[in-house]
Amino acid sequence: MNDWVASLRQLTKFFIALGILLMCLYSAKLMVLWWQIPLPSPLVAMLILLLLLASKIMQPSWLEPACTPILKYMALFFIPAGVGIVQYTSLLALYWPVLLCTVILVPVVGLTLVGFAAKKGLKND
Amino acid sequence: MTSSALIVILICALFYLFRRIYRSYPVSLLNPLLLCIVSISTALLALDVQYQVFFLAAQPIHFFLEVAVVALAYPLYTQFHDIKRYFVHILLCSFIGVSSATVIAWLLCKLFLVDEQLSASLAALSVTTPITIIVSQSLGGMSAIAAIMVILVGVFGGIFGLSLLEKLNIKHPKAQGIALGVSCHAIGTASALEHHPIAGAYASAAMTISAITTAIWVPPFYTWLTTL
Repeated sequence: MNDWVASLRQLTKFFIALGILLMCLYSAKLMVLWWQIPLPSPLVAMLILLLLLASKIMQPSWLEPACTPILKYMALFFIPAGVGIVQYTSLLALYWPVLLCTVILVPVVGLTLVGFAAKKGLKND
Repeated sequence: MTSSALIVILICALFYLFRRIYRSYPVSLLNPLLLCIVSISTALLALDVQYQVFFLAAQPIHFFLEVAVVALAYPLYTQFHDIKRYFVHILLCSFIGVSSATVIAWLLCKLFLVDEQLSASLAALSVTTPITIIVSQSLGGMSAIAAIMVILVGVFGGIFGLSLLEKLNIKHPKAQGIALGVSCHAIGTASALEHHPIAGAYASAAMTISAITTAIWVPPFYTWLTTL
């Protein structure tokens, strides 16, 4: 019986946290639409939430029950968009050399540049 | 409606299965996301199913992509205390990393004479997938190409990133974490976390800051590049 009550409480906390996230998302969507903000609305929503947390209006413990599982399984949410690759098979066949070069060069150059920059800034540490 | 529920359950089950496999054999090439995309795409092509039909059914999962971006505020806020000292430094590093990714993709597209739509899809590859998708959509790119490329960049960086950094004599875990988080987003962050807890914390902070930098900086920067 106690287990059942505990899991119900857990579930309620999850939905409250999810509700906060959705509230931020939809108010950001409205703001982006009204004020023609040139930023993606999920990012605006994230900044709103960050402001609410920083100003102590929102407690991090209210958000934790939804944020932890959502971020843990974040990769799952990329699947529908990623499978969209099936629409571009002919494009892949045509452009695979440039795509291959990009996949190798972007991380190699990025890691090298950022690695040295990061090392330099941390030198006196 | 029922078919949608079935597809959603199937995708979740497949993801769970590949996640279990990856936990037993943590090899970057067995990345659950990569395996899911490859296997589902193969199934769609083999069964001759239209992507639009699949996407409509999988919409409930896709919806959470935006929610996940909002949820990133939570780790950023809780970690802010630890990284406060280096915030400006990480911001500077993320600018370097994000700009280099955009410039390299743009140069390669010029070199290979690639059309504009594909070029716009490759403009923001170093950051977490939802931001890449949103940015490439806003630039008129193809989000599916952007999504798969960003995953491949992460997988490649996850496999070879740490040994590359060691070879370049970058051995400070904080520096390794920042480099992996900026250049190889979540998959790089995962490999940093396996390597060293401090590297992991810095990687996830660097990843989040880079996501914001990309969303704000890449659209005007890329637009400016294309006018050159």
